[in-house]
Amino acid sequence: MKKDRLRNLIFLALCCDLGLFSKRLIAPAANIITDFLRIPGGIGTSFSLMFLIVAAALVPQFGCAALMGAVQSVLAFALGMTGSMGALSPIGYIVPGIVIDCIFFISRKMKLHNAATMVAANMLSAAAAGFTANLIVFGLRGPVLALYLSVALLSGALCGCLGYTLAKRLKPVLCREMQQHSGNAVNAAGTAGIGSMISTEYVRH
Amino acid sequence: MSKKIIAAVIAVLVCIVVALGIANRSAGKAKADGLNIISGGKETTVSWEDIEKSAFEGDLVNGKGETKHHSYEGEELSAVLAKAGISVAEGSSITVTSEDNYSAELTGSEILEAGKVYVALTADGEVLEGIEGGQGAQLIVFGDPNQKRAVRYMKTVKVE
Repeated sequence: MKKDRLRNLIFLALCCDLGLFSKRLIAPAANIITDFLRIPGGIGTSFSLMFLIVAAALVPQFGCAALMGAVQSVLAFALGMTGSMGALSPIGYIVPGIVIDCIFFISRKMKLHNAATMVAANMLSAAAAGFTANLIVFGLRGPVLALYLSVALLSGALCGCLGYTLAKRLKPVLCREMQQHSGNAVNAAGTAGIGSMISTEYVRH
Repeated sequence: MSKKIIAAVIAVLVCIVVALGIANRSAGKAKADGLNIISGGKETTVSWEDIEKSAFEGDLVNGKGETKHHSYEGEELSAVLAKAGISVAEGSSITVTSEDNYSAELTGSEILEAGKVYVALTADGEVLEGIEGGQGAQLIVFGDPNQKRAVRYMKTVKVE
């Protein structure tokens, strides 16, 4: 296996774990807001999905977000972190991953290479996760469902901005690592030679 | 340009969340302090004081598959419904909703089964609080493979 491909997989695995455990980490703070708004969730998921989006932005391969979602669902099963969705929890992990992949695919086709893609991906994947959870567990209707999805979209937008900043900071580190290991001549901006493995499209300085 | 659009989208979403949040909280506050029971389009409130504090205990299975023993004080849901003048048939469908709009479905036969479905007011000696403090309640369903139907901040019971 190529070193840079292995590095990408390790990076994806790291983002999977961060996404999964960050949800637990942020839950107490998120619950204060969701309890205040009287909705059953929507914020922790957006924060968790941010890591998938950062990974999908830096490893531009179609299907990587869905793959990470699938890995997360296996990890969640193994660690007993399935939450209220129970046996259906893989749907809750994979559906947002597919949404992220689709948005990045469309964005690459349309050459929309900016923060808006990451924000849109985070917003829509969070809304998709919320909608899936509502279908499977919550069964909210009317204004409460609108509030629940609005909170998911808003927290998704904020986490998308945070994710963009994170990706912008991570990109030079990943590029430098790859330069050192590949030994290829890579220009200072890190856009040549490694373009096929690490995306520079979404993290312009 | 895109940063301006993102900022505008966030601003619009903040306004929507604030408006819907205020409306949602106001709707919750409008209800009386107790358990709201809806049946045939009619809404009745059974106050927390009217729910008998009988001791009961049993095992519940959590999300990790661990079984834990708990002791509660409260009353069977069928008795609470009877206090509101509502009779449940085996084929009835019951939806229990919490203050944060989480909901769980029950069947009439489950409710009529003795020792299965309870409204708990205390758990392991601690008062079960509502979402904003004060007395609250939790739905307890014994025999479930997980606590998915253990609705905290119990607020409404709809019988259809």
